[in-house]
Amino acid sequence: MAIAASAVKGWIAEVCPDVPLSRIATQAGMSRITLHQQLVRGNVPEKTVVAVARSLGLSPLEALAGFEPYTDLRPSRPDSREVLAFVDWPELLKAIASVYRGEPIAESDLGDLVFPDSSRVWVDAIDSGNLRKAVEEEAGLASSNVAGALRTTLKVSLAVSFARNAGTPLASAFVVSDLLTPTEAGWDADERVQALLGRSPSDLLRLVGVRAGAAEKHVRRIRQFEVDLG
Amino acid sequence: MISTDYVALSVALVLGVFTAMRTPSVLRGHNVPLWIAHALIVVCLLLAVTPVYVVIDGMAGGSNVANLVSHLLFNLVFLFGCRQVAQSVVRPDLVHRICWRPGFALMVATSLLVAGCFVLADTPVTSMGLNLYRDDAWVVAYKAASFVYPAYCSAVLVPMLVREARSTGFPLIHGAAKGFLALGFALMIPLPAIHLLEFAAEGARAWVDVFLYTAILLVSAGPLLAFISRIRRSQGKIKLAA
Repeated sequence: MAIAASAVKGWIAEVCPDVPLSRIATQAGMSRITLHQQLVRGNVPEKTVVAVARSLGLSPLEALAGFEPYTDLRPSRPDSREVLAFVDWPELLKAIASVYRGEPIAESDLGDLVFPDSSRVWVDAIDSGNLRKAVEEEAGLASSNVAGALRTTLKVSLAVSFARNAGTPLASAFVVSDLLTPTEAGWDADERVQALLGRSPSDLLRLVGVRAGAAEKHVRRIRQFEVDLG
Repeated sequence: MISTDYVALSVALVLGVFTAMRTPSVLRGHNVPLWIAHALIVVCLLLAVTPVYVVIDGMAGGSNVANLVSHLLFNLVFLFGCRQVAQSVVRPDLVHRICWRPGFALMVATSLLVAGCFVLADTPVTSMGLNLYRDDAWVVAYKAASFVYPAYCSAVLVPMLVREARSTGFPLIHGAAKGFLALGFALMIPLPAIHLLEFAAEGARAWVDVFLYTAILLVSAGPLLAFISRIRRSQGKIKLAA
């Protein structure tokens, strides 16, 4: 689901007229040849638009929202279902213990937003039952391919499909894909801390159970490789 | 001995060491199918060394039956080995495709085809790799058919292994193991076609050895890394996360 090169060419001409392509590419941290090829081939990846927008001091989200198929992209705080999926389970357990004991917590205690297995954790959090099936049908992918995609950082096209089908903010899909920072997506600076403090102890303990179960499955997969081949 | 004998012997020795390393675990009942796959590939490789082949085939009647046995054993190596690989990444669907329909049926069918081509080919005198008879179309067909099931199993596993090797959240050593497996299995896929190319260009047969021995070494590196990872974990030297 890349962006049409003609639209990106028009946008570049509008935001930085008379600037040579080579300089735009250098400022965006990519090679001139790569940018040129993307513009010639007809499709430009979203990360190129994000990189160029950042290098020009523009909002990457607003830049993306100027193109099909992201015209409905708006800055948005994360959905309550998804926000704590952006914390890996060891940090989450520590943070919940701190909340339970009334000790202070900070965003910096909660680790990176994108972590191993984060794609699957996010989809699990927003899936009310038929989400995977709906995305498989929409993307025309087999369930094994979608499961495989969830083991890496999600491609933006799939993340967007998951968000649209789940009814969660599109901006969060770009955070899951590691394309936008939370601030660029429109999150508050301490979004995850607010979510932790806003939940009841019962809710948090239920979440511990869910995440510990998922982590246990992941650890079992790691061990299985050694059990069968080691 | 000729140069390919030394290559086969060297690879057999390496795989022999890997098999020996696994023997204590096997005696405790751990990973028997994988040990069988290792042991069988060592037998196949030793049968690719001329002096060994001549002696064994001589004992079997001197009509190249040892070559047929080695090709049929190679299918069993893939049956046992690929099943373990698919199981290790928790993919019962791939286990099914390799060990049941359509995989098992394909293995039986191609094994019968291999045996049929061998019978139809006229190979009365012991000849390492049937090299004396490479002009016989039945021999070329026999060789190509021998690699159909291994190529099928490899084609089933490669896309999954590539995805797995790129997955996040696994120890680096697991990613490397899956990468080696993917690369090795990928080299197995064109082998039947390379054999068939012999009909057009005789030189194609040299590429079979290059692909085959490289593939065997790369594929065997995968379980070796998993083995090292298991030992290191049991000694507390490896973390679960990447």
